[in-house]
Amino acid sequence: VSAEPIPEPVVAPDHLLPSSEEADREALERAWAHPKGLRGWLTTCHHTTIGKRYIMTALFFFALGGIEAAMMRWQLAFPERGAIGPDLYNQLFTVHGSTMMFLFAVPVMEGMGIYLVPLMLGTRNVAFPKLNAFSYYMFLTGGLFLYAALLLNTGPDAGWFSYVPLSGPAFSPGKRVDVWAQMITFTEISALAGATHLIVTTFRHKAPGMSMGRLPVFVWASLISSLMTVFAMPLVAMASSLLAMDRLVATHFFNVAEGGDPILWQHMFWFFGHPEVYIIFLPANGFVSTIVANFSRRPIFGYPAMVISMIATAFIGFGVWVHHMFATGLPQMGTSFFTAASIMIVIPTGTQVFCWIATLWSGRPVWKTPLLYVLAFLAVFILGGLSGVILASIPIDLQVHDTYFVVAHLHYVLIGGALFPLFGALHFWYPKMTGRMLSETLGRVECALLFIGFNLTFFPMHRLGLMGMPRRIYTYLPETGWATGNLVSTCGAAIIFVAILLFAVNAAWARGYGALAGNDPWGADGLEWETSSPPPPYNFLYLPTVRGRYARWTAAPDQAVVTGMRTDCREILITRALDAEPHHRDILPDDSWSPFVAGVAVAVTFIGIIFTPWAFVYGFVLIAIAMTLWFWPRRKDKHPRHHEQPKAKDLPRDPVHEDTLHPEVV
Amino acid sequence: MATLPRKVLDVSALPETTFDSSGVLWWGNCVMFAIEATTFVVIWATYAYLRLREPDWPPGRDEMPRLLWGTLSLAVTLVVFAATYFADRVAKRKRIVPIRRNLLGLVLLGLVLIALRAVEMKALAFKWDSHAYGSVVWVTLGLHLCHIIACTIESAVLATVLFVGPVYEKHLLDARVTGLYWYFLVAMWVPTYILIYLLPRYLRP
Repeated sequence: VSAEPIPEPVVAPDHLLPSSEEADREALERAWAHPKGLRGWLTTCHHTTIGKRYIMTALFFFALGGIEAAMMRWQLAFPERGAIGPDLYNQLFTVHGSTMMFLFAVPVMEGMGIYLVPLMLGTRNVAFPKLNAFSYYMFLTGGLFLYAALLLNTGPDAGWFSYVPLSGPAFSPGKRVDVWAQMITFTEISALAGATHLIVTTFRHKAPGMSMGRLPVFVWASLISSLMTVFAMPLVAMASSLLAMDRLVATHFFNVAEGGDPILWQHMFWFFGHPEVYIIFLPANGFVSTIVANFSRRPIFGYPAMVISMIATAFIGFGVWVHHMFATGLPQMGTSFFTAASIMIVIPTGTQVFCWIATLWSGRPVWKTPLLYVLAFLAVFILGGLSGVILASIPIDLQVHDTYFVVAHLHYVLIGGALFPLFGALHFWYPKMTGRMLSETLGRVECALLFIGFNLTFFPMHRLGLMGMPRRIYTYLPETGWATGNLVSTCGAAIIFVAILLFAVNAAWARGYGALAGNDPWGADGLEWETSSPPPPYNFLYLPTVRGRYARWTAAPDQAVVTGMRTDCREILITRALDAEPHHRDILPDDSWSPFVAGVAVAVTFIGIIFTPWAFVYGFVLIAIAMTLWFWPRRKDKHPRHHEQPKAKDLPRDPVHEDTLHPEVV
Repeated sequence: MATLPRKVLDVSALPETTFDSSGVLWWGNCVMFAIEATTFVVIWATYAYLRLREPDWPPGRDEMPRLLWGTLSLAVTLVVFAATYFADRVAKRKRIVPIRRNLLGLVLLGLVLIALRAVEMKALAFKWDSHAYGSVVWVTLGLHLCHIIACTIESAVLATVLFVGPVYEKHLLDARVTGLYWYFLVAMWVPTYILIYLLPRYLRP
């Protein structure tokens, strides 16, 4: 992908003097100021605020999911323990899995995207700020709803993929699975809303000159993952709605007796579920590429190969879902294609791993904490990938299906593929988000403990699985010979707990006492390091321009900045999708109550549906009112557009006749 | 950036609004249509999947939805398509009176479609809880109905804005994007009609 050169910048006209810079800064401060207090909390639409909120909330749910995991390990440490009964255990593993997938992994990656993408693109906010705020409220509601239910002993208990018929009305009466289904609906709305504005932001908000071929790798990763979200998440939203309808209004989608089919559920769930893994893994992949390049002090090796690999992963990722269903008795001829596709994933993933190694090999690596996390990622993820190749083989899969071997595999790929890179990324961008540095010493200790604890916890599970220990059992007999493996595993979990605790201490300490970071503590590439840490609400005083794939490393000493933007309102520059030529300017909405109001309306509706189907009807009205408020124009346009401006000869198309637009004139 | 670099890219001459597919709102709506179209594809696939499992489709020959109402719906949807096309052509001329009038026309057509769908669903010989076939037909028709209602409300709200104001240039883009939503509804109804009304009648094994 090659790019046109950016338009030749013009020499600064007279009025752009340092004094006008100060005036611009003051005007921008005013235009982008948040209201204070509770009102500010509930109305803000800025991507750095929402992004940080996303990340903090997701980490909070990560801690809760971790506590559930610790409780399960506590129960399994010895055979025939009675610390936790089977009913609570079922709720724990279901809520643990659902939390980690839907309330931690997806939202935290999305939160990182929401925080970083606009900064990396050199813009002032995401394309649809109110939608962004709304998506956060959906995510928060879904999470709080799940945990409120768990505390009331109504936590879902049919596993994180809620297979029918177990989760159907016949075998799971009560509200537990309904809670799960609605939590899914909330988080899917949130993920879809997030994907929508990230896609449009990426295509249309790029800094002038940042053509698609010059996008930072993380932005590519986030874009591809968002596109996958668009085509994968509707599947599970639909599946959970059909399940809810089966349970609440007696439809028969999954009821064999009336012509339904439980396998349909598995198809729908895994057609979403496997791309989901890549929706989580690709942004993590972007972290790895960014960290590897910055800490090897060189551009990433094989940028085109890297991007094409990610796109290939996205495509192949939609063609492997049946490997979760080998044990359902699907026709063998068909399943063998899915084996082939599953093994094919190795090609793009392997390409990326070799590119990372080549970058490290040919660079001058600086062994700071983020890079150490990446090394841990490489080791763990490659192991997880290998057990994945093993599982793609049908005969082996049939043997170890639903055993701890699968548990080991999925934790190796998900913790290895997502958590280690995420922690590397948090160490890398923490200075940008807070303005302070994390402790390097503590960081190294954390990383080492996490690596040791992780392997101690999950490596023995491979063996336990091969010995036949099924997943989701709340206890086991001493004669099984599983005791040692489980005890080792529980000890490992304790070490992970310490590592995470250290990270929390590190982050809390550094927030107040860490060394000041300055704009760019790492000498890193990427436009996010061009602005102050933390960035001001308008992100950049003057929007940057770009002339190479590495925005800062290739910048000219007098690299042009964008001027001529309005500073009295939230104006942003829209560029063309592929070559990022400036196209037009647009004004973003101010902070608003409407996302919160719409969030409440949707929350009331979806929670109400569990109790009466009529809530759908009331809710439709409620949401229609909220959406009308959302779109209703303000009485007075605070920022009338300037029509009297002289326009360059080729720029305006179809100049608007203002008089036709005002009702009193017509 | 302590001091201003020497070179600048002055964008003050760029337009401040846009009314066509280069608009950000247009892109956002396209992503939304991709999402919603995926949900339709899922429900069509569900229908086809359940069909494979069921030798007798629909269960009981006499229960098939009547061709009349679905075809009437199809006819009105095609009228909607034409109306949207002309409304959009008018919107491009940026005159507010015809835009208002056309939006009201679309709202009326939307109401007709809703009424037709209500009659159509009432006339079905089975309920959603009769069998899996009933479930999937009701949900497919219902999903499309929800979109019609939402789109009609959207058009009505926009028309109200255009009547009572304040009206800004960006409402032109809103009007055109609402047209996109109507196109989307037409595009989703045609395959739905073929799947539910035509295939079970004329493509029986």
